[in-house]
Amino acid sequence: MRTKVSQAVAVESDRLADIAYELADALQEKQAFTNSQMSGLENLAYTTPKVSDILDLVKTQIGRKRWPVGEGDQILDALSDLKRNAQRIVRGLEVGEEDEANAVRRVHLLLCREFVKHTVSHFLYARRFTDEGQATDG
Amino acid sequence: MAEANIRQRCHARVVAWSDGAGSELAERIATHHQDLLPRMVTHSQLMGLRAAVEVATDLSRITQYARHQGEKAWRDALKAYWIDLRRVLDQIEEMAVDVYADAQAGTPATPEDEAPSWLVLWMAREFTQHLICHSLYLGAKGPQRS
Repeated sequence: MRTKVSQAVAVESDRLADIAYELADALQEKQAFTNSQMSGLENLAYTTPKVSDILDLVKTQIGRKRWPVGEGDQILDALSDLKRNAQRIVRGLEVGEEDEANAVRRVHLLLCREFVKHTVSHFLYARRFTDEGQATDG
Repeated sequence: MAEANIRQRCHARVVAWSDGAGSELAERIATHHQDLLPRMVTHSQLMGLRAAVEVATDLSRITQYARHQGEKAWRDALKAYWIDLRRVLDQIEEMAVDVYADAQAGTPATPEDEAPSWLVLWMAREFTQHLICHSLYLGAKGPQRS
């Protein structure tokens, strides 16, 4: 079962990459998003056992006015929407009805990790060129 | 069953509860009182709640804090907020009974059952974390948008 989940998540991760890159491009244009904040988001995603902890971090950044509402909401919506992808994956795995909710929750967390990883990697990559461009202009 | 084993079994259930019912409950309460954010239920009050929850040794300390805040409140709407919070904390105590019964042997809880205080406190902490984060978020969005 674990191998099947890993394979399904890997396939979904490749599908999600373009959406994550698009989001990362939008975020890196806003100075409010810093490299360390984004790395912090990735670190949390890979250490917490809960999707809600990842959402809470984003909500806190918005609440403390560190991140703008519009882009912050884009992150929240993207992560929340991954639940539907998780449900689709779990349906395909044919786990027992009793275990389904828990399986969806675990797959949702794995997809959030993948999505955050893609977003943060592309953010840091794109930000480097923005920073270099500004240094050259300056 | 040894306590370490029970705690381990509770862990998976609390994580699932926190991601599901706990988050939904917190979002519902924050959204219900959205009009009070951030002017009446201020950032400082939310941080005060967070500090009270962090140092609490059991649930009664948190309900005591909520009661005290409610007594100090000078607006009915704000009093209602703290009363609502206490009501939800009582609900969490009941939810903890089910989590504990399920973790023990999957046996259904009876009305006489009680959950250990560490479990109730753990779930209350999960709930308040979600409540505070969602309240900060709604406060930043302003009263017109949800």
